[in-house]
Amino acid sequence: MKADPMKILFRQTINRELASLYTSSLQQEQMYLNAIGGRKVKRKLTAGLVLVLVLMLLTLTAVAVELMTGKQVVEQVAVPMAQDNQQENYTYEQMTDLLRTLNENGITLDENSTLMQAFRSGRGYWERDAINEICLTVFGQKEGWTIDQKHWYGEMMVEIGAWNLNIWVIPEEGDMTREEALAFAAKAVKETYGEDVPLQTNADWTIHEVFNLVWQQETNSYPPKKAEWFFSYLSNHPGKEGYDVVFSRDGSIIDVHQTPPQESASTIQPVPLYPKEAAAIEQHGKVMYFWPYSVQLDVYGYPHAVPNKTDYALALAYAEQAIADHWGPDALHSLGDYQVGLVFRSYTDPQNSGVSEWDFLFTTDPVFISDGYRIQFKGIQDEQAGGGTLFVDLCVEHANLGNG
Amino acid sequence: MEHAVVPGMTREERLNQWVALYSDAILRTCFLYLSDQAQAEDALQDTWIKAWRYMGEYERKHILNEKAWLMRIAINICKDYRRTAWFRHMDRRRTLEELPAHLMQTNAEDPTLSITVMGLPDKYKQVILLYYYHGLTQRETAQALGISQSAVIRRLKNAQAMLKQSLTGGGEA
Repeated sequence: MKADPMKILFRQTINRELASLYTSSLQQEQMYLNAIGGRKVKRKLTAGLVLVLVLMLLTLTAVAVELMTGKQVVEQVAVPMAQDNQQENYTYEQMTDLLRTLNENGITLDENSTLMQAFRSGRGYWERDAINEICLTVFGQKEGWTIDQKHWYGEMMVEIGAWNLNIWVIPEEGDMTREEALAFAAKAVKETYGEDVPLQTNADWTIHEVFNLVWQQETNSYPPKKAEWFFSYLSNHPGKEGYDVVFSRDGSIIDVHQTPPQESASTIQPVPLYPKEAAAIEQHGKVMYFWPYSVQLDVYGYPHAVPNKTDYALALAYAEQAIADHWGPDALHSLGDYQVGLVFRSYTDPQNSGVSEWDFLFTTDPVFISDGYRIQFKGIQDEQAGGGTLFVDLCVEHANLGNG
Repeated sequence: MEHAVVPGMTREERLNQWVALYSDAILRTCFLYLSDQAQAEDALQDTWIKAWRYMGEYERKHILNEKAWLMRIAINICKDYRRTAWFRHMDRRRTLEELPAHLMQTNAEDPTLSITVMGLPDKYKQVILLYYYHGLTQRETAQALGISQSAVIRRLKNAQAMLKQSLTGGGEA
């Protein structure tokens, strides 16, 4: 029987509007048991009783129920689910299961995140971004992750096929341990800026740490063996300078420099992210790929940036070529009247190389991204090519997130 | 999708399958009918209790459309709720702003459809929900509500006109 388009539209609209009204698998099981037992748990409770029940539940949970951690949800649910997928997107149904699992284990994602907006619209979501969102919720902003957390995250990215190589490594036999590296960094700062820099007092500093593989231009070997430590000391006291230290895994100092107070932790003002984000969504739609670059920068801050026209033209041509190579020369044309969105970031990596990150979206449906292509790659300044840009780490995927 | 009685499936298995398949749709229907999440959750639980209690009737009558049968139970439960004194004394009319924010966070092209449906008189709300939201035919809708098919057609026509008027801000019906 032919489906009535009006019925479909009506059903989809109601489901979108009431997407947050659903029953978890746990609730369903309880309702089933209540039904066959002929019992019903009335929910008209006084506030006091609710408080008592919540406290009891918390106590019992702590004692008797082993909740999954965010890491376990990623390892045991999100990653296996992604590995089973043909495409790089979770379907709406998979997102439903994933969000239920998170909720049942006390992990709530930010309601304003792009992921939750997509979910409320009855859409699926990119696997890598969903896992990223979970990890940001569980661990906080990436800069603050330990090298172990970064390494684990990289392993998950490799597991789902989002990365070819986990560049976030952990010390191997013969490497300095993390503690030795931290002491080495403190010593390097003192040797450069004087013994009175109080780096031993942990309470005075927020320390960001990275231990990652770096590309060896001279040997071009893959996977790279060269790795570098990067420590950033951000002062917790207003007006105090911070310090960045970079050195290789064998202990050769690459860079030690002072960072101005405004980059220090205590003076970084919390970005009023959500009001700004909400305003941007209101004005430019919910898909940030189609926001002006200046708005992306204003909402999310550095390293978002505005690409220059020459770089943009080169990168766009590279992205279009990637689509043609992957899906055929007519792939873009067959989309019809498509729009191009871009999320652009630009920063200097620990070796002082300029890196740009290009994340293009080609779609005819900038509201729900129901079709099209997503092309991601990095641009690295290539000294051997006379300062030109070398595009690397290409990742191509369908932008269709499932129709829910 | 319709499911006849599956040979070899126990009543427990059938109920379990229904709970997994239809809970969300019934919950949303009850919410649209009652305009109250807590009441809708109670109505959903009552629906499963009644479905279990009358499973024998379901089998004896060889009911082909389980969804229509379940919706009849759910709608009747909602009607019962509306008859209670407690419910009558509550103002069920809601505006978009008054509803819990998390229920109405939407990116739909027309964010007021749910509210508009909630504002319809019950007899029109019933046919709209069964026919459009649950995708029943006019005949199945008539069976679910225990009314004639011609009554369903009349109600649908009136309900469509009311919806159109509300959603287009008083345009022609």
